[in-house]
Amino acid sequence: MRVAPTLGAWRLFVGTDGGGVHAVDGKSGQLIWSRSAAFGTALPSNGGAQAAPAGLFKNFGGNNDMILVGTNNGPDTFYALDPDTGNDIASYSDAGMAPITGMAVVDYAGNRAFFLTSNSPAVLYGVDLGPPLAANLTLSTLLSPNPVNCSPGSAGSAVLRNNRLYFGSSSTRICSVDLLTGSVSTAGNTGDGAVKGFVWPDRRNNNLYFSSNTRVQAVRDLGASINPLWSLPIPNASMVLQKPGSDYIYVGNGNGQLIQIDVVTQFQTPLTLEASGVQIGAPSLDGGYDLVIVGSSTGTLHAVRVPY
Amino acid sequence: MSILLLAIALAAPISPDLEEARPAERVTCSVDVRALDAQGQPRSARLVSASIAPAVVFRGRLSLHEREMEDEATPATLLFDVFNARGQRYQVLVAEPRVVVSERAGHRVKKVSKTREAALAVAGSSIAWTSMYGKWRVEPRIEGTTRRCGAPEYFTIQP
Repeated sequence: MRVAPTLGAWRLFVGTDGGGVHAVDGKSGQLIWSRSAAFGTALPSNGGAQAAPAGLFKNFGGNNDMILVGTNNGPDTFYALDPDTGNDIASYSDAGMAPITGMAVVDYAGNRAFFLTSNSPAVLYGVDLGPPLAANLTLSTLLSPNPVNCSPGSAGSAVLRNNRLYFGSSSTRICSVDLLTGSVSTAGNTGDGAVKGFVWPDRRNNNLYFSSNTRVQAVRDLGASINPLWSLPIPNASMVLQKPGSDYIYVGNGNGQLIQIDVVTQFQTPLTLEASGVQIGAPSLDGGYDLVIVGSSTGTLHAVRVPY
Repeated sequence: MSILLLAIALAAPISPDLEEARPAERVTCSVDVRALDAQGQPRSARLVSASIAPAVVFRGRLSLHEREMEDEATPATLLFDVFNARGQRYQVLVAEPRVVVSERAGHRVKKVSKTREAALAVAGSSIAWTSMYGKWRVEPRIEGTTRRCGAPEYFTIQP
């Protein structure tokens, strides 16, 4: 992404499972800065910053430029980093905070960010990001209480839609937080392990799609409650991707396949990419070319034209 | 006769291969596997919950004599080859030696730890997001070599 005219370059911000956060020149591939043990600059945490970095950028209408990332495995802290240098701008932590392993969601209109921790009761935090030229992280008064509980916690990320935050817990529970009233609604525990990563909101209606250990599921947020719609057995399903505006969602499975699911009919169209036993990872979309990009456990990257 | 054989053996020239053998090839090692619980405390890694355990920690231990380690200009770095339940290499983790320099009787003393640690992220990682469950394997290896320096260890990741 082109982060800011003052930085004068296209820049990618990535997190790595080893606990590092890095800035890479998007055109040359050169490393610009790295907060990692390899450079002696790791964020002060045993697990480093496993979470993918999020960002607030003036170029996109934000008050300030900052990279936002949480740390894992103690001490657990949420950081704002300078996109230009990687240096700390601000941080927030408290005694109840648990590991942050998912990406924060940034609400530009509200100049705030939300992130999840893996242990209840302090599960969902909301932080204000500070006025222009005074970037800071302070607990937002918007949520009450803040943090919000949705047991037993989440290792994933929240998504924001229509003043509601949606996220999945580590017990296949879906949580919905109304940011106007503070009310929390949940959908039951299906006993199928953690919701993987994040839930995918269908922007055409109030449906949400997500994966758990052995299933891909759909629920509908009715405001006061979340109702189950359908549930399909797909062992080792990856996180879900919807082609925006279409009836199709995509998931990888543990048998070398990318599966296209029609969310209306639940009809599945598998596409074999690799041998059975190979895990196909979380798909992402290149909307300009209608391509789904997926990696696999053999280290192969695939591009698939969709729908197929 | 036996004395003669011993004398011949002692007088035999050192093989060029042995003479040039790198310190890494004289080192053997072992690896201990622990899982961290939600509070970051180390626990048995027999069964690791992918929704709770933030990491699995590998602690490698070199058998090389500590004195010898201290004398080395560049202490060995351990690598942990981590294989998923399907036998595919998932990650190579780097475990740098910890070097502590202190002063003793006016002299600078460098002490290199015989253990090296690295952590494999579990909860919130692609292991959890793609259900890569089952019996995993870790093999320790000295950086710059291709063969493992100790026995593999196993741990099981479950939902």
